[in-house]
Amino acid sequence: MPPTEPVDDDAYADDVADDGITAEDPGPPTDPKAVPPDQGDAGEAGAK
Amino acid sequence: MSVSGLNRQQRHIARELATQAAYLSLHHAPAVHYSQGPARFDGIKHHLIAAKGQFPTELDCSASVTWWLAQGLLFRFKLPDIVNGAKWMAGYTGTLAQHGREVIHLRNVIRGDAVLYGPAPTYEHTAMVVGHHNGKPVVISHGSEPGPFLLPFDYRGDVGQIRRYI
Repeated sequence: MPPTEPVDDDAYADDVADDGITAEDPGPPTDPKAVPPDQGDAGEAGAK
Repeated sequence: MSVSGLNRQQRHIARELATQAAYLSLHHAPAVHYSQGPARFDGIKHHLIAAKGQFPTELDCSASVTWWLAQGLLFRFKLPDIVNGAKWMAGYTGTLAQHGREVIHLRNVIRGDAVLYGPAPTYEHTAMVVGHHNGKPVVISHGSEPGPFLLPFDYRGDVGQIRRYI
């Protein structure tokens, strides 16, 4: 299945506004330098 | 029409539930192991509800994002698998990339959106947006055994795209 159309910038103005009001600031994230490299994903085997 | 077909209030609930689930995984990081094994979709198979404090303990990045999103889309609103197109039983970054819709502008990124990292079309890692810090999206990412971690969305230099399913 091909990727569907991108989100229209204006179509989700309500969602963006809602989320901006209700979402709490998660606080400072972890320093990426302190995180080990990602180990990848299951790949196509994960589709089965 | 939204990506999911849910109305505005339902989408809000779905984003809340997905974010809540991601934080539950984050706060139980020592018990949440990184695995690409067959149990990685057990959180959905066994209908684990984050709001009840239930969480799966063996997942990789895409299974984590899928379980977080399933809290609202599947468990609450009973939608078909619009995240991976695999009846909520499988998926990986390549199927995540084939579903939902791309969010083009960073200013429109909100909680519940998935960031895909690595080379298109299948990518190699994903994480979910849980909020903004200093105006920049922040994700929870489960990409290794010590994870999940709370990180800036661009903690890797290979952000491919951001997609929305809710």
